[in-house]
Amino acid sequence: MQPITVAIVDVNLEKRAQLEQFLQRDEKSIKVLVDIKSNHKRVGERRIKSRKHLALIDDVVARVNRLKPRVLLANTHQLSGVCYELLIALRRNCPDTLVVLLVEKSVEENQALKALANGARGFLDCSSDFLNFSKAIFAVDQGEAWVPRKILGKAMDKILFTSPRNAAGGCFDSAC
Amino acid sequence: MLQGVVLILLASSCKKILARWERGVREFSPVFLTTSLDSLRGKLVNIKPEFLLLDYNLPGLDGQKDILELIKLNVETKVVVFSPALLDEIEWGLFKAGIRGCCRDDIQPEQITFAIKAIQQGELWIRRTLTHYMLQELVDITQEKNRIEQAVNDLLANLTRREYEIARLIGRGESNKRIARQLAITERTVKAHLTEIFRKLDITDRLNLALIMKDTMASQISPQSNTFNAPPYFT
Repeated sequence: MQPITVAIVDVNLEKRAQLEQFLQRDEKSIKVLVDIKSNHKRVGERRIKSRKHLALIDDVVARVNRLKPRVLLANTHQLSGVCYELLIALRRNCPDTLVVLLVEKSVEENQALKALANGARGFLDCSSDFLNFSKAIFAVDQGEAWVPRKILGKAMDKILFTSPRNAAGGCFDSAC
Repeated sequence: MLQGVVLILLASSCKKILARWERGVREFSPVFLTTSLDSLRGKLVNIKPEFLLLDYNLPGLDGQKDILELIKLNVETKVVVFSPALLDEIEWGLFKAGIRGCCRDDIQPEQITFAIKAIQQGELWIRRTLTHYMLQELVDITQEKNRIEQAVNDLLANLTRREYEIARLIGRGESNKRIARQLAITERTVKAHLTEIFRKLDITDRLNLALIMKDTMASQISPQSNTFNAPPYFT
């Protein structure tokens, strides 16, 4: 069985090194792709919330296109417009790469839904146990979402509410 | 909500299944039973249960179509289907019809309790392997919604500032008379603007315009600030 290829973008350098090191321990199952052409230090210092976010999105898309990972762990610092733009750009340019967002605090429902609607496959708390990261990578590689069940409930409400062809004629939950 | 007062309806023609379900919902009450589709329809309307535990093999029940009909009878009822292993596409179709959970028909009673509690908390009781259908659907409908919004915005961009202003007021349900008063123009002028708006948007009446504007204005509300983001020429 081929290992799942994984790339990591824009986690702080220390955290990123730890994560890469952890994931590489399971080298039969997970292969961490490192972009030797990119200047890690420079990229690491530039956070996605940078004002030059458009150039940064291009940079990330170019790197993902070079590396072609199956799973991309992307630290977007926070779920904001830049994050959604990045997700859209990745979906358009690298549709085979599954993006899991690394978040630094708990995710608000609306923001999580928006990220999923723009192509994210899940969320991982940066401060959580790295064991979760391996589990998430395996699940996402199988096509599953890595999100809390409650968010799945809200996502379903959104699908039923937004899509008239699917709706049973009303909303089913207070979220509507 | 108190667990003790959850109204649950169990629908199966198999006594064994009903007995197992009853053990699973022991801590909830009141619990009603039904063994036929006709009786189920009546009880859904009359009892208005919070939960319906539905046997997929209930005689006369024809899969997704009938389940959708049952859901329409009382959209407040959370339907949990108990079935043998189904194809992913069929099971996903049931969720798209509006069910909140799907369990294997040999599920243990304790698991039924967990499922009901989870669904009560707003969760879905869904196999993780089905979530990729959900994500794909979410992305697809979002793209479709964005495309429609963009098309509508392109049409609205053809309106003059005054026409857009009147269209927004129509979206808020204002009458011609009130619009005229608000903008200090005559009703006849409002009507003339409306005729031009209908022509530009290729619609025939104010109801369509109101619906378009309502959707447009809703999508222009920023979720963070809850403020209306007007087009550039309004700022």
